[in-house]
Amino acid sequence: MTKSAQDEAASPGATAEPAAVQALMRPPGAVMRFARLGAFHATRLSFGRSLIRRMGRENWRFTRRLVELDDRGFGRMVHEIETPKGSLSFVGFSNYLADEDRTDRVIAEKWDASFVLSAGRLDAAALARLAEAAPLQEAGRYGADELVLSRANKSVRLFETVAAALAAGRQPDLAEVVSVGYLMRTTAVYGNGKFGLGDLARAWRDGIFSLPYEAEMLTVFLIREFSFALIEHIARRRNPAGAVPLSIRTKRALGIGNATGLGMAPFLIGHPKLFNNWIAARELALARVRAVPAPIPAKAKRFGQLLDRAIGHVGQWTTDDERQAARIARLAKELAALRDRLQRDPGWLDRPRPWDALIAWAESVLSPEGVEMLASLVIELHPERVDDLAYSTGSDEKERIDPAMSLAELKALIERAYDWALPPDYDDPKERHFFWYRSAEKDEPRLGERFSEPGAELELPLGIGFMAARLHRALTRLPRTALTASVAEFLLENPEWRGILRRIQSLAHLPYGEIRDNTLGERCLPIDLLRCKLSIFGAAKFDPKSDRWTRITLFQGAPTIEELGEPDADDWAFPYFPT
Amino acid sequence: MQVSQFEIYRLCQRALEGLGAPYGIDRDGAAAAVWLEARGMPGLALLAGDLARLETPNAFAGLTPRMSDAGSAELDADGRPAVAFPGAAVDFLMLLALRSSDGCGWLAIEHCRSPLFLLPAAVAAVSAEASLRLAWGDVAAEVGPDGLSIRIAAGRSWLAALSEAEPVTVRLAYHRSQMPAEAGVPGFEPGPTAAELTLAYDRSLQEGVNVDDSLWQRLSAVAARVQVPASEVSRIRGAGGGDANA
Repeated sequence: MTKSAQDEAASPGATAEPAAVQALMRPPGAVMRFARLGAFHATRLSFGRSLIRRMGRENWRFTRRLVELDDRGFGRMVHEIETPKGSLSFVGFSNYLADEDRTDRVIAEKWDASFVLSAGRLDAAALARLAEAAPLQEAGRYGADELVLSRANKSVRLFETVAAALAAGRQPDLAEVVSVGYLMRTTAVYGNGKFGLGDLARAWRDGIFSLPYEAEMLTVFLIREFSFALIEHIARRRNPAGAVPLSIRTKRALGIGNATGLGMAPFLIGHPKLFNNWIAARELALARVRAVPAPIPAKAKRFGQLLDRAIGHVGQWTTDDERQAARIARLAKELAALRDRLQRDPGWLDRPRPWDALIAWAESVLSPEGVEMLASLVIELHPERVDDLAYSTGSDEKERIDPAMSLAELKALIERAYDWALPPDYDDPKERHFFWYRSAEKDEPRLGERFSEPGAELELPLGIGFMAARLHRALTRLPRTALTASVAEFLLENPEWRGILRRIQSLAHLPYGEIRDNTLGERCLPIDLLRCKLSIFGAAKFDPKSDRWTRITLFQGAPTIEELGEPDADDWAFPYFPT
Repeated sequence: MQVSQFEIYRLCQRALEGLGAPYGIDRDGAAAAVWLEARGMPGLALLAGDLARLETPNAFAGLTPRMSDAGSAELDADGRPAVAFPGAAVDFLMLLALRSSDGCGWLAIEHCRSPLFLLPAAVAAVSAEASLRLAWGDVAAEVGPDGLSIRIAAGRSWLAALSEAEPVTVRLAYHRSQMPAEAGVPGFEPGPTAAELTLAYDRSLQEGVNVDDSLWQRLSAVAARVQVPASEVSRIRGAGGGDANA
């Protein structure tokens, strides 16, 4: 088997799945749209969920090896992690930060805390080196043993409130805890070789990590543990005799916040094979559950429980963003109406292929938020059918040219696979309204308005539909006889088409690789793409701050490290915290 | 300076983009450079040495083949570095083999600077059943079922031979199946072995890649051309973000 064929076979959806299941997969033309991707919720295949399962299954051991914090909580803390494939170290540095220096922007230069996840054990020299480098974040240099770099700020809304409550010998008000959802909020989590960190291939070769973003998700999970230990330390120093630790109930209600800007959108467009595998895994999971042939009473009961929990979860999902607030309000009504219906007619889903019927019903009457919430809930019902798909979310990401394909075949391929890209009139300024670029300021990915801002000549190649349509137009203008030429001949003489042509060929059998909307058009809302990627990570409580950045919560409801091995450790989808 | 493979890739991709390489060519060139550096070969030095030629107007223009027969062709690179066309040349060579009756394609690239950039594309193109040979100056390499083997003219340092930048003629042969073993070329000796290259790659993963600071700075200056200068408008409207104290 060629490398290309191996990769294709590894792609979920292209495997030897029963035809009945394949037929139930939602078409990419429906899924890969801004509005649909922007309504995704986390599933049990999300990276945070699969990491929690793995840590519990493999009995990972966590030891707090070093705590050197002063009375105000400034200093450092080291966790060691033992896995069956080797050991890791996680160090967090807590520093003083003036309120005026605290910003969610990636262009910030100071943070409350900084973190590094390293391979192996940290010796004193490494610890001293990281103490210098980590607080500098992007301005520091790191080594191949260091796998992930991150930073976080304390939640101004919650951190001091919780510290004061614990110091006073009581748990904080749970409603307040739930409404914020975290003690610290990250603003970047870097891996894969950035700033000298170890390359992804290194992390994978060591064998501890084998799935996309696994190391980064572990780092976020450990930042959560760091935030617990930090706040308990501060409370104890304030009142050594009377302070109490966080209760498990409070810890569960606390995840880690994250502020995410535009960078995730270019990533999705720039890694189409990986993106295909993420979406294909999700869609195949949904199709496998839709293919369940008959009702199973225990699953129906479980669905009712999950629906109740989801209703509670949505009730605790707040945002100041008007668009998202309206969507949440509608979602709440839709879920409540579904529960009413199931209570009125308990036998409603007592029919062949009950989950298929439910999703088909949802698609006919519910908002995208509602449909995608139900998709996540039914996927949750059948771990035995879907959990293996978490292992198909990686990709070698290699794109290859088929040199012998004729230009006529290439043109037909574009008309078949990029039919969505051809209709827009790209001469209309509205269809080329935006351009994506890298700012000289910390290399931050940004979005500009082409006809009113400078920099469009440095545009990133992220207008895939536009580029595919241009190539199609160029092929259409060739004399018919020229279309017998091969791709290799064409590219030798016309190198300007190499990138988009290779992409088109490489994705020919990967239907979920492309966002089937115009990423340059004025209707593009980057927030939809951010939400899609964040949901794949396992994010919840999306709280958009504009159409270009959002806050979210990760690991809210997740077990703590002490609970990873417990039987219900995986049962934290759409967590709800009665207050 | 110790860097990651990711950093090398990103630097070279941006440098090539900054020089005007089209989307796709920039990625091919960057992939070639990082492949070489990760194995102890001079990807960055060759790229830095090629900067002046890559700044010229036709550096990334297309190449027009001169066909000899169904399986054989010539290209004139006109003094351009191979980093400007590594994938395109190897794709074309494979096409020649596919079209030939004996399954073998032959390509000569004349006046080709820094031909070492063709090697990674050759390795990437060869499947388990096929084989590819390329030779220039004091270097002869073969990629086949047993992996990559490199031979160097006797008495020449392999690093010096591979670092040759001046325009030469490169001869490539691709066969859809394994080529008959070639009798040893007189006057050539084994260069770095496949095992040594693997060891170098493993070391670069384990420790990072040591690069020359001045080369890095030269390429960084070119790579910076792809960034849009910051402005207040772009800071406010370009990415969003706001008050973390809220």
